[in-house]
Amino acid sequence: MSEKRFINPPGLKPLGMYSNVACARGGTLVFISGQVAIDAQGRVVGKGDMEAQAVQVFENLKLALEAAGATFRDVLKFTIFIRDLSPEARKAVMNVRSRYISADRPPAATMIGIDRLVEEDLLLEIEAVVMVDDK
Amino acid sequence: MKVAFTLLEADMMRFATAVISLGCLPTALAGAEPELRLLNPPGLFQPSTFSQIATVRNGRLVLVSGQTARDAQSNIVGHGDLKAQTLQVFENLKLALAGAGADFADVAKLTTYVVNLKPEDRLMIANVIGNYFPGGRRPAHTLVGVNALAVEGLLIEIEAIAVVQD
Repeated sequence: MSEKRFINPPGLKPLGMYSNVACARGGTLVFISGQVAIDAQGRVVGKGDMEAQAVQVFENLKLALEAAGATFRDVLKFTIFIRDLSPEARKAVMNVRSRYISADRPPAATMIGIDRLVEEDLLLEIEAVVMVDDK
Repeated sequence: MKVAFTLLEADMMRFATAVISLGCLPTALAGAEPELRLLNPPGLFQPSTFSQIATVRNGRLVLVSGQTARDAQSNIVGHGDLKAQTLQVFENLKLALAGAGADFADVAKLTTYVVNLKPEDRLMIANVIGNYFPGGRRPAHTLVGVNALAVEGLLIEIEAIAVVQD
């Protein structure tokens, strides 16, 4: 059985719904490649629409997690790359994320404003580090 | 202005990764033979140049700092030439991994940062990856375009996570 702890130590105040520290032991570590708003047929979903792209990204993450025998509760850390990061863009992504993660033990997170992604129409990319119980 | 922002955030990301990994994970992974699996589950886009998922069980975790096209004397190799810099980065990654008793077969994930990323860069990088990861084994991969790297003239930086026998 793996053991996970999500910690916000005194003196470090998170600016949103995430944990400053995630610790895990006793399971299999899973690395999920950065997911973008591309469907199984390779088409970009939600051109020009950050929220629509975020939904597709989280649906892709869900599929990837399931394939590894994991759920969103097993995520230790997200790294979120957002093109032309603005407060509105951040809010759109956070709104979608809050529907997928648990508020009582949110994963650690890093958000980075970037220049561009591999395809012109892509607005965000999210990768995840996860731990699942060994089978 | 945007340049400074990007650098700061990149540093923050590295810091965050170090806290998680060095603080918690190596003890958790101590013990038996490491097991690295690379998956592309149905329902997700099926890439030929990377794996959507890498899973790591047991072993010692190796975190390699972002490597750039600087040689041992700190000189930039391949000024203005992304492909030449990419080759130098992979040679540096090879040295770094060897320093931890690892090689490319032990790599679970790469993160690649490219200045002024263009669609055709992806193909070039995928080709170089193909030469260093034989037999169709491709690690998980995240590729992002950035405004600037730590030193002017650098065009690409790649960091790696690997697992070796404890």
